[in-house]
Amino acid sequence: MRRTALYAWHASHGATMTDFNGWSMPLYYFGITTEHLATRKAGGLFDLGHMGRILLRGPRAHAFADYLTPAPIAGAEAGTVHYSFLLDESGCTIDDITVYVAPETVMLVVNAGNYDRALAWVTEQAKAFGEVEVEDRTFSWGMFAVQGPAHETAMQALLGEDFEVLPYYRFRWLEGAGRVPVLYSATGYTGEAGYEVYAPVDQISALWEGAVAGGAPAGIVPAGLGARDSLRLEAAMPLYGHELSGDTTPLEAGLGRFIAWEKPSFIGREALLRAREEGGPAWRVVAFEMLQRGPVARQGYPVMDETGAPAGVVTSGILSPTLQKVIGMARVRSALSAVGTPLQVEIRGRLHPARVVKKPFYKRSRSHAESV
Amino acid sequence: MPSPSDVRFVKSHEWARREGGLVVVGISAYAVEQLNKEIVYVEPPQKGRTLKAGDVLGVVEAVKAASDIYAPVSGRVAESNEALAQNPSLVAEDPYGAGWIAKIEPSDPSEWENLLSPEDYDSFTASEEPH
Repeated sequence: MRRTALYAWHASHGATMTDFNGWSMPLYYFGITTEHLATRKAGGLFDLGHMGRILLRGPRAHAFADYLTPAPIAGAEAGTVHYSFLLDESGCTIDDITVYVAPETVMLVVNAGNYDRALAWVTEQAKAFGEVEVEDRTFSWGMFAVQGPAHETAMQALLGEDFEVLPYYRFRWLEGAGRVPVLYSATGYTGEAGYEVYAPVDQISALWEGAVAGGAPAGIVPAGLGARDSLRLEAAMPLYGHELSGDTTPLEAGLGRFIAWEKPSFIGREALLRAREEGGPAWRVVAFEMLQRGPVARQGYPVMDETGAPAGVVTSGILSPTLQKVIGMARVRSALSAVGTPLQVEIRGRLHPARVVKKPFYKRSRSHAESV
Repeated sequence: MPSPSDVRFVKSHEWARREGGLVVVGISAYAVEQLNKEIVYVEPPQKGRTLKAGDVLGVVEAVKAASDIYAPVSGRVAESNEALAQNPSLVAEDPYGAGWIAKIEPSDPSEWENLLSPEDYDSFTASEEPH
């Protein structure tokens, strides 16, 4: 099984490890709910060494990323991050990714579960496109996230005077004599403000330990993949393999706002345009809540409409630690996607009432001006 | 911690205790530990149901997954712990007491002899621990 640079740290700090797409990753250290609530209250530190990091170089790196993804990369300012997708020609989602636009390079961050396929796809497309080199940094670089209202305490411990607050979805690259090269971005997957930090793999442990020590007095704790999943779900952020898959378009997942329609070409554009012209997708991913206290509506459970007719399927579900009710996302017929629509979820043969609600379930209160 | 001496076990991690003419059933402290004590929902059986030993008696849900609870003995469900609907964490807090799941009126008292003693169950779980 693959191990991140922080594996020894996790093992010596009592983490319960889990096999996540071939990586041995912490599921939790203390408990999923504890780590979830601590991240909402103060902050959480998440090892993300398992995510794929792919660097594009060469004179046509930006033009290639603009063609490869539906994000507006060609005109993008250096230092910006873009949430986007790798789409196939049918507009279906190979992966959902973040794209980092640097002056001379572009970095793609892909899901661990899709890493092999994403790397092969990018490499194949780059070869056909020409004048772009693909450099896999998954194993030479590490990555972790600092998320939550007190995140600045840990970031200051980590970067000292070099730390500068960044607007949402911006990044900075720090290098120079006597300093560890570090990239940090105002991104995350928890619904909280915070950063993701990248550094060479041999430096990541020291940085992580610095963040743990610096963040502890503020109540920041290390947190595992269990809390990462429940935090992202409260924020109604999609997870590949749940809300997105190889036969789902971003339109069906309710992520059409991330498509730069004005671009003349990108892979999957024609198929998405056709879907849009045909009156939009037949299916939509909606957020729902259960109306009564009861069992958890989990991935794969059938969803019915008010009359009991099949309506779709649950893609993710949890007992929300913050809201103390069962929430989830489901793929349902578009006609049933309006907020307030009554639904029923079949759990072990019994129907339980639910309704479509507005995304996200949880929205942080903003303490200072942020440009989102 | 050793398991209490007045209960018997099955390898699927349920316990049973004789109380009057009934058999009280719950899930073991070891099972609760395996779920990291994070129990979010418990579905006990409906009163009056008839079960065979090994049948699904109910469901316990942790944060990440739902697991079946199996009946350690055959019989009719005489009582179901209704307090669990509002307070599923009783199972984690007091698995051999307030966290009981159901009381079964046994149909075949000889089945009691098939259950594991606390000592045998403890050595079984010790051998199940990851090395």
